[in-house]
Amino acid sequence: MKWTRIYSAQIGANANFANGPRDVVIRCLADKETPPLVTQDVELCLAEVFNNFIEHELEERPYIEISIFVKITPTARRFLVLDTGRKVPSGAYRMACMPEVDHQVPADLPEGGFGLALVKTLAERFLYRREGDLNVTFLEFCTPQNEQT
Amino acid sequence: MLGRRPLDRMVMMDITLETAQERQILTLHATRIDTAGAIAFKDDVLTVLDARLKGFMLDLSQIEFIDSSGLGAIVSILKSRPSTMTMTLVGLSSGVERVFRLTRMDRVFDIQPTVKEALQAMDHQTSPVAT
Repeated sequence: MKWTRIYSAQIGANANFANGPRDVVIRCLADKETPPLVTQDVELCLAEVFNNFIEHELEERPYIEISIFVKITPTARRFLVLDTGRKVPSGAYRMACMPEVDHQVPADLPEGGFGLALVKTLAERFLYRREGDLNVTFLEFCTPQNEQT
Repeated sequence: MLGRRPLDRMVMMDITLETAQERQILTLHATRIDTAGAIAFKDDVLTVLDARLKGFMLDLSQIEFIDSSGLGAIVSILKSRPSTMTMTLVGLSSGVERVFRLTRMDRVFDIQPTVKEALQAMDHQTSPVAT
């Protein structure tokens, strides 16, 4: 089964830039009768991947190019996100983990660092690699058939 | 990280303010707290807090989606609030509650199902012990 491109655009320094790709992805998942919980997970994970663009790219560049490809099977929803942003620092994704919050006084609580850890928790598979000038991010979400409604 | 992007001020959040039992009740009229509005949300909440009161509740019952930026904003509110004020979160949807649980923030915050139940819990905490 081939990948289907569902979104391709240049995104600029706009606080609402993620609305376009998010709406396209959610519409695609709805068309394929994706369970609501899976749609919720996909939305959150893609939001966190997009957040990385804002954090690390759009402050310094006028825009980056982004494409989203999808592969739908009865038991999985797979996404490829290609972007022209800078290379993600080596090990950043591999080492991402949920910050420790137990036994901490409020003043010491982390305000960030949850995003990539959430992606790793929610996605069945999450892979990143650099190909030339492109970041390639792969996300897979399982869709148990008995949960499809 | 929060606090760096002036763009976020572009997204305003509508907040209704009420007071009950010496607590402020801040109801958010939005469906999302994400990167686009997280800083505005945090700034707006901190601006309206009245340190003369005992505490405040954030009624999130209309929020359907929160990402790590929104979560960070709520943590920042907890850290930046007047130290004399308690903070309670109420009305978390299943999706929002899941994010709090996965990040273990449900162990950090006082979370109540509804404003009414939060006020009742406060009643019990402040009632004199029967003798």
